[in-house]
Amino acid sequence: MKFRFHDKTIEAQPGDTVAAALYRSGQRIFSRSFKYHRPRGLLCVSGKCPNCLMNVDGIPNVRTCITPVHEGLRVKAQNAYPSLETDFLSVTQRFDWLMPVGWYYKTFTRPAMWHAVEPAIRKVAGLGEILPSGPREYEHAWMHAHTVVIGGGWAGMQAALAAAERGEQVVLIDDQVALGGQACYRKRMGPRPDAIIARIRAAANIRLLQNSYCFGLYEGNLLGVLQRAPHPGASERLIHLRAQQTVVASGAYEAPIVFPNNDLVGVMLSTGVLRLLHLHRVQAGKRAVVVGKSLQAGEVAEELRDGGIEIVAIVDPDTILKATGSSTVNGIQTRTGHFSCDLVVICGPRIPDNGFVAQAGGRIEWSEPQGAFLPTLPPSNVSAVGDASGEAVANTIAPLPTSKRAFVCLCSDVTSADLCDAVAEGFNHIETLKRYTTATMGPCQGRMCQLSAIGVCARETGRSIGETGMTTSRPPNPGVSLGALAGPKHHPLRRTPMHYAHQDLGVVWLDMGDWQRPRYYTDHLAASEEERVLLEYRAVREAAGLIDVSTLGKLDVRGADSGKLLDKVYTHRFSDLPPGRVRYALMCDEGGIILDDGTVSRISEDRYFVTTTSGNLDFVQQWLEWQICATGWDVHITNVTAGYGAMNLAGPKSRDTLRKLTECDLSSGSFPYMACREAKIKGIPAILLRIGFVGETGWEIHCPAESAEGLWRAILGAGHEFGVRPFGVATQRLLRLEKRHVIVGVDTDALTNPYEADMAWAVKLDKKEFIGKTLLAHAAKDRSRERLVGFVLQSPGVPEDGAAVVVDGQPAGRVTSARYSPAQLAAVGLAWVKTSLAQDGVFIDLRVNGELLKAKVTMKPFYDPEGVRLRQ
Amino acid sequence: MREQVGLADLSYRAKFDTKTAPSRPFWPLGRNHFLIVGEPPLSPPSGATDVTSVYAELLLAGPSSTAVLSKLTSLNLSDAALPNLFCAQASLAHAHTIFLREDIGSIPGFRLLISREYAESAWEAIVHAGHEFHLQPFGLGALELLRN
Repeated sequence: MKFRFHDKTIEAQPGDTVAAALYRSGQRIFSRSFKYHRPRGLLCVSGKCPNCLMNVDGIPNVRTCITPVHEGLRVKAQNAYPSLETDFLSVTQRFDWLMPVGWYYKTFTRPAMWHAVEPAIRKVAGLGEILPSGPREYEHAWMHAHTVVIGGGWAGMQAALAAAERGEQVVLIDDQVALGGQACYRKRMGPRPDAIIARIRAAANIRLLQNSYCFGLYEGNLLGVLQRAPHPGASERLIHLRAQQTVVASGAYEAPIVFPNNDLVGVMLSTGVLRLLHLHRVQAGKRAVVVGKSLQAGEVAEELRDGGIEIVAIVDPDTILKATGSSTVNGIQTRTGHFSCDLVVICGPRIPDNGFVAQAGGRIEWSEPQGAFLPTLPPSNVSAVGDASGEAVANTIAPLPTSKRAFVCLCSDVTSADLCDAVAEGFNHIETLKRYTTATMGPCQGRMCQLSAIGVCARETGRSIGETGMTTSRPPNPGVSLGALAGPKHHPLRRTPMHYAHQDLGVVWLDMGDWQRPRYYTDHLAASEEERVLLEYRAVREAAGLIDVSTLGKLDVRGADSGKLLDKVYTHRFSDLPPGRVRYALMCDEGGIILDDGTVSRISEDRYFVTTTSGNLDFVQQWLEWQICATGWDVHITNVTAGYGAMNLAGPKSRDTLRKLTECDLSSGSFPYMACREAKIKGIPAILLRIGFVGETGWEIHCPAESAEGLWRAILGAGHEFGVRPFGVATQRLLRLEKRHVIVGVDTDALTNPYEADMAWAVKLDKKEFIGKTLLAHAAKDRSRERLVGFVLQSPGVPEDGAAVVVDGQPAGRVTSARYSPAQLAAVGLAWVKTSLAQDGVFIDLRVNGELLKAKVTMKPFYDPEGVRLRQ
Repeated sequence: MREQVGLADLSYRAKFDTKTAPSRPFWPLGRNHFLIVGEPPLSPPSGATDVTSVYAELLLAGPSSTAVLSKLTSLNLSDAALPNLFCAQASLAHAHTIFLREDIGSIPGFRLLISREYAESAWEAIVHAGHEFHLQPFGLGALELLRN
C-alpha cells in the first residue's frame, strides 16, 4: 500500500497505522506544539496524546497513530511553516518571557488590543485548519444492546464473552488498531490472545465496533460513539448507543514524567515504544535510555533488548537533571553523568481511564495505597473492570521539578513553572488552576497532564493529592468533529401532491417550515416578481386563478358528540350547522387569545371536515384529542391532511371552468356561498367548499391526494380558454389583504383576542360554554387595548411589515401586513392602533423609508366591501 | 432482497383507521386506535376513516433492512424489541412513521407508513442510507417471486 505525505510517497505494510508507516520511513517530527511551535514526535502511540495530530484526507486533527492506512490517503502536517522540520514560528519560544501563564487574561483586557492582535495569534497558535470544501459525508445511527463494553483489551473481551454467554446482546467498542490491548504488545502478559479474539468474532450476539471510540456517557445510559470510516461512502458515523449495562474496560494509559526537555522528539512512553515494536515491527530507536523505577523499567528494558534495541542505561526518575538535544533527543543528563542515546523510554505512571464512570454519576477518589484515582460507588448500571477499575495499577508519582522547559501539558505548552506561577497568583484550586493555565483542556483532555498538574498543585498548596482532587470529566472526551454531531445533510421536505405540476409551470418556491409552496410562477410576459404577481392578480380578479392549498391542515371528525366538541373548542357554533354548510372557525385558548382559524364543513349528519392553518395542524389535533380525553365524548379525529390534495379556484370565470368538468349544479341558487357538496369532477370524488379567502366567486376543492395532480391539470386545461392562471402564495397574500382577511400569527400575536382583531362576529357569547368564554365576555366590553385596523396610504410608497404607526410624534402602533393594492391604486395594509383611532376616516402617520406618510384608517375591506363578488 | 435489501412503493394498498377493534386482522396503534392495511379492494369496517391516501406505504425487505433503518430512526428494531407482526411509531428521517414488521418467510420486512407529503423525501433518505448495503428498488414482480 502507498499513501502521500505532502509530496512524498510512503510505503505502508498491512496493518500499519499512518504514524507507524511514517515512522518506519524515517519521519521523526510529527507536529509542532500549540504555543511555542516546539517539534514533537510520537509519544503514546495509542491516540491519547496530542503529538501525532495531522490532516488526513482534508480532515484536521486526526490521531494518525490509531488511523489505519488505506491506499491513496493524503496526509499533511499542521501548524508548521514551511515544514515540520523547519518551522519559522518556533522563534516564539524565545519570547516565552513575554507570554507568561494567564497571558491572555492579563493582556487582552482592552478591546482595541484584542482586535489588533487576536487574528495574528489565531494564525500562529492553534491546531489544524478546517477547510470548508471537502467530500465528507457524516452519518448518524442508533443502536440498542443489553451490555456495552468500552475497550477491547483483555478485561473488555472477557466481560463481552461473559455477557454473550448469558445470552445478552453485546456491543464491544475498541479504538485501537488491534483487539487485545496490552496482551498484543506486552510480553509479560503471555501469548497473544488470538483464541479469545476468534471467539469474540464468532459470537453471533457480540457486535464488534472497531476503529471507534466513545466520547461521552449521557443521561439515560446514552453512549456517544464515533465510528471512523464506517464504509467507503462516509468519513464518520456517530452512533447513539443505548445499553442497559455499561462496562468500562478502557484500561489504563501511561502518562509522561516531568523533567526539563521532556518533550524532545525521541522521548517516548514505554507503551508507545512497545506498540511500535510489537504491533508494527518498528524499532523506535537504536540506543535507548529507559527511565523508570527499577522493577517496571527492568521489564521494559528486557523486552526492548529482545526487540533488538540497545539499552544504554536504566535511569531512576529521581536522578534526572534534563534531556539533551536541540529538536531530537541525544542524551540524558543525570546526577551521575550523561548518557548518549537516540531514544528515551519513559516508564510513567499508569492511570486508570475511568472518566465514563464519573460521567455516569460515579465518584472518583484518590486511593493512597494504590496511588491512583479510582471509581467508588459507581451507579448500578455502570461498572469498571480490569485496569480501569484500578486492578493491578500501582503508581508512584515521580518528582515534579520546577522548570520553564519541563512540560506538564503538551497540548498547550504549560510547564511546571507555569503551574507554580499560577498557584502563586492565587489559582490554588485544581479547577481554577485548570481554567487559568488551560492544562488538561487540550486535545488529550488531561490524559497526559492531569496527574502531574494535580501533583504540582498539591505540592505548591501543601495539600495531599486526595485533598486536591481531580477535575470533572465531561463529554465529549476525546473530542468529536462538529460534522459528526451535525450528521447527514438530509432535510425533510414536504411536497404537495401537485409538486411536479408546479415545477412544469416554472414555479418559484417558497419554503414554509418543511413545506414547499409555490410563491409565484415565471412567465415570459413578466420579468420581476412584482410584474408576475400582478399578472396572477389580474387573472384572479378578471378571469380566474388556481392555487394549491394542500398544506392546509385537514381533520376528519366523526362520532355522535362531534358538534358538541367543535362548539367547545371554537368560538362559533357548529352543532346547529346543517349538513352541506361551511362556517368560519376561530379557536381561542382559556384566556381568549386567538390560537388558530380555519373552516368547519358538515359533510353529513355525523361527519365534519375541519381545516386548520398549515403551521398549526399538529397543535390543533393534539388540542382536540386532549379535549376528547378530558371529556370522554364519542368523537374520532383522523388527520387526513396528506390524504387530500386541495386547490382553490377563484375568479369570475371559475364557475364556467368548473362546469366543463362536473355535473354538480354550481349556480348560486343550489350551491350558494358558504355551502359544501361532495361531487365528482372529471370523475374524481371531491369535496367542494364555496368559500372565498381571496374575495371572488370560488371553490376550495379537496380530492384524494393521488388524483390531485390530474385534477389540477384538468382545471387549468378547462380554464385555458377563459384565461385561468395558476397563482402562488405571494399573489394570495395580496388578494386576501385587499379583503382584510387576517392571517393568524402574521396579523395576530400571542396576546390578540378576537375583539381586538375586529372579528367579534365570529364569537358567539350566547353559547352555553366554550373555551375562553369567560375572558372573551370581559374582552367584548374592554375598549382599553389596541385594535387591528385597515389603512390606505395617501401617497406613493409601501410600508414594510412592522413599520411604526406615529401619532403626535409618538409611536402608536405597528403595521402587520402591507402591499400595493391594484384595486385602491395605493398601498393598503393592516395595523395595530389605539382603540380611539379605530374609526373610518381617521388619519394616522406611518414611517415609510424614514419619512412620515399619511394613511387613512378604514374598518371595511379594501376590495368589494359588501362581498357582492363572493356571492355571485 | 434475499441477500441484501430492497425497497418498494406499495402505496396503492388500502388503509383504514378506526377506534373500535375490528373483527379482521389489524395493527394496534393505541389503546383505542387500530389500523387495517390490505390489498384493495377492501371494504371499510363501519365507522372507519379511509386513510389510503394519507399514508404512503414503503416496504423495506432483506437481511440488511434493520441496518438501513438504524441509520434513520432511534427506534429499537431488534427481533426482541419488534418481533414479526408487531408495530411501533417513531420518527424516520425526521418524519413520523408507523413501522409494521411483516417478514416475508424468513426475510425481515418492514412496512413503513409515512405521511404522504414526506414520502418522497423519506424514500430518498432510505435509498441514500442503503447505498452501503447495495439497496435496490424493486417492483411487485420481484415481491411475487419472493413469496413463491
